[in-house]
Amino acid sequence: MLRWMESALGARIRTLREQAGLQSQELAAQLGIDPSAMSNIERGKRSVKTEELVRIAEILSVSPLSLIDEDSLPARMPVAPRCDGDAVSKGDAYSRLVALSELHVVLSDAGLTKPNQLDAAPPLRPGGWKARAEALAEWATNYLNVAATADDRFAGLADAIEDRLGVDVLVERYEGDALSGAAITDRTFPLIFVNARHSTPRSLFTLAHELGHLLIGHDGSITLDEELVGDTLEERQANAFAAAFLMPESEVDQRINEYGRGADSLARMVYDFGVSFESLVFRLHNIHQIDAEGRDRLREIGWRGLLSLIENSDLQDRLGPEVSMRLITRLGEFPAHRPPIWLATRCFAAHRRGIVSVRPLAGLLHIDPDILLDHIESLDEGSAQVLERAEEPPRGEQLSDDELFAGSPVS
Amino acid sequence: MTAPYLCDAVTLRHFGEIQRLDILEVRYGHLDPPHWTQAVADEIAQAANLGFPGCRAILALPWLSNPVTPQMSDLPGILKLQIGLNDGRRPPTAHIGEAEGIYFAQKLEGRFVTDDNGAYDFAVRRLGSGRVYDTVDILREAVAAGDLDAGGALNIANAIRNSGRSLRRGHPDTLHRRYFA
Repeated sequence: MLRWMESALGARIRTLREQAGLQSQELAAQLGIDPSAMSNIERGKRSVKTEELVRIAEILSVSPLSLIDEDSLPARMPVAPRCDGDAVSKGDAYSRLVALSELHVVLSDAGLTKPNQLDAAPPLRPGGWKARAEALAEWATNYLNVAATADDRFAGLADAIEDRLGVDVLVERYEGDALSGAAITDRTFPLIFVNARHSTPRSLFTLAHELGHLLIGHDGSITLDEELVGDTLEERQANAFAAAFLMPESEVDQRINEYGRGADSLARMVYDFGVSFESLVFRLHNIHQIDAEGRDRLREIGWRGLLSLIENSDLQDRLGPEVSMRLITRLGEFPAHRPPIWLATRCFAAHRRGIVSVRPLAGLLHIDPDILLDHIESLDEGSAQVLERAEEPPRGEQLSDDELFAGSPVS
Repeated sequence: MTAPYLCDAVTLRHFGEIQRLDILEVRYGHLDPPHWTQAVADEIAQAANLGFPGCRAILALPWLSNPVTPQMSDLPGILKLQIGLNDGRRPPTAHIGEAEGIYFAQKLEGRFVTDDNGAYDFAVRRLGSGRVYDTVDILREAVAAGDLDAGGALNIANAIRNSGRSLRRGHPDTLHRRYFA
């Protein structure tokens, strides 16, 4: 039995090594062991130390769990590609998502799961992909019922995704990382990631785009997005969903009717929808408000051109000072960091039960583990004292109804 | 058969650094092995190769005996503990020794010895408080058993601190002799 397990592990290591384009000798050299030892590991003839297994996974840019269970969520994440003979490791943002998927496996194994409401989304109706994405966007608008101003739209949408759908939203900044956003689309651990290094308007589109992947039911492991260029059907569907969700055609029509076909309505729409100028221009073209030539001309002008117009013309007077100022400042605003709240909640319960240490929770909350531990210990002590007091019998006090009901049930 | 005490590298190195490994031997040397795990032994061997003081003396201790080596069937459990000991920031490469120690303490119904704050708290929640020890716990136990007096225990704690190593934060009163009595 054990020999069979070692053979299976060896075969798995060989498969992943070959996918990563590494020779057995190269892996042995990086691991610091003899090539014959590496060969024996891959043939199941030599057992693997824990540290060796972890190092092999690190070199191959996969999770150690993926080496011992090829059906696990981390195992279904993509293997690092190669370029010019060197393994190109995915960036820190991708590594973070792999690590969180590992954490999910540990919590799930201990029975700490979190149901979500993704099944509430209707199946895609028959028809072209664009019409289907629009219909799904209409459903999401009603279901999520995001009540937020354009300035708060990113946070409001993230809150609604967490609250109404039970989906985790992780917003962290990874400077220099090509990944703009990603979605873990596994139904047992849906999570949206947004890289906070991009401005809030662009990040809002990324958030909606990743939501589209989840609602449409793409893939089942993870989708990774860099420039949201729509080079596959899945990406085009997610883009169409995000555009329709953030800029409904009826509301675009309404503003064009109210402000005319010009700079006023462009500025109004960018302001009201909270999106980037670029996203708006693509949306106008996709719903046939402008042709391809108009789209390209507006793209050349860009957001900075619009801002320049606001600063140097009477458009500023027509928009009013508040709208003008907010349009200018939004370009330099970035979404606030936010932890995946459901995962953090599961981690908190897992820590109390001895399933994980304090470190995963501290890592999610960006808190020093020792400080968090002190806080949790003080909570534990406080809870114990309250429970001890609750077990004491009443002291025979005589209180009137007014006194009994004068306390605040919510503090 | 006695319940094993599985020592983490941090604690072994505390006593190795000040050349007082004899205290551990008196406390645990007569108990059945294992006293450490493969990852802890490898970590100390690496530290010895880098010239860290006290590590060669640890590797030469006869009573430590052979470390317990995980079998293939142990690896999933150890890896999951290791994930739980890391911060979720990147696929974990640290805390392998603590993960193996806690795993085998649980499997062999033994005790776990560490001075890593997070690992200690984790192990207490997992194994129960009576099965997890740190350096100060060992010193206090040694005083209670008559192996040391309180002043001697305090001197050892101070020597560890003065060597630049850290005692676990869970003992706020370790500057006082009476804490060891």
